[in-house]
Amino acid sequence: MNVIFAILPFLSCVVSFVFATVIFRRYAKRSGPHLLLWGIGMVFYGIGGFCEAYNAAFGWNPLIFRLWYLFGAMLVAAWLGQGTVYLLVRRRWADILMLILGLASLYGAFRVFSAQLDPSQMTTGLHTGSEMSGHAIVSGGVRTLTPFFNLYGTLTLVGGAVYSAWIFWRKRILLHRTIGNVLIAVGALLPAFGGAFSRFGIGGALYLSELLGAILIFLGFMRAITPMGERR
Amino acid sequence: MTDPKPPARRSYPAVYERVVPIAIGVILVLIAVLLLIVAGVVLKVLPGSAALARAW
Repeated sequence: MNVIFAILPFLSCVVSFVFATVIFRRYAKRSGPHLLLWGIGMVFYGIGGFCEAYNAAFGWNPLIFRLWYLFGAMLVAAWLGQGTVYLLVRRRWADILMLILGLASLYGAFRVFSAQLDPSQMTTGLHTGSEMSGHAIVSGGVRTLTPFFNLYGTLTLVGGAVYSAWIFWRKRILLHRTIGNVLIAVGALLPAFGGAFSRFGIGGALYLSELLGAILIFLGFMRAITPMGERR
Repeated sequence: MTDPKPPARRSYPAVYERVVPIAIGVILVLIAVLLLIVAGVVLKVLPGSAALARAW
């Protein structure tokens, strides 16, 4: 076992759950569907990290794998992005997209938990076996679903953060939100690139990028909700 | 009689005036690169399966 493959995702898990707690506490005070969805999204992020750490520390477990694939690989980005959609899109459209995402997530959960698995597939090709990989899913049509969730999630989360940063920068207002949104955008992009680098055979890239991504999104969120001095 | 002063334009501290647009530009480029990677994998031009199961 490569210890780093257990430590990095465990740290991601801790950061994610702490962050989710901060978001839920803010939601309890202020409400707002965006906060609820971001909180849920960070719980998914944390579950993904926990499953990766478990796999590296204790080895293969089909339930852990299914939880990782569903929450860590399939749903996390889309649910975080849906929170941003509630901030930027008319409520009616956001509700419609939420309904579609909810139904798609239920379908994804059904497919993931009914899929046939072959853990030996994780040790073939570019992957080491200490890292989790969707290659273990041998049933057709399951992994095909994932890019749709991730494209939607990455474009709404990153795109929404960049759009918000641009609006604030253009008006030269709320500097803390401009900075916060830039940090969130970078943090959200990191795991996507980590996944790509991992796919190209760079070991540990995914887990490292997930940790850095969670930290940057956390810092960005805290920056965005903490006003700082502005000058005219 | 003096001309009325134009309203003062709001501005961020100088460092942010420079850094923010650069950062936004870099992020947009990275998004484009990411989309190209996704397209490359889906079209099987780049290594990996047709399904980007580990994009995140």
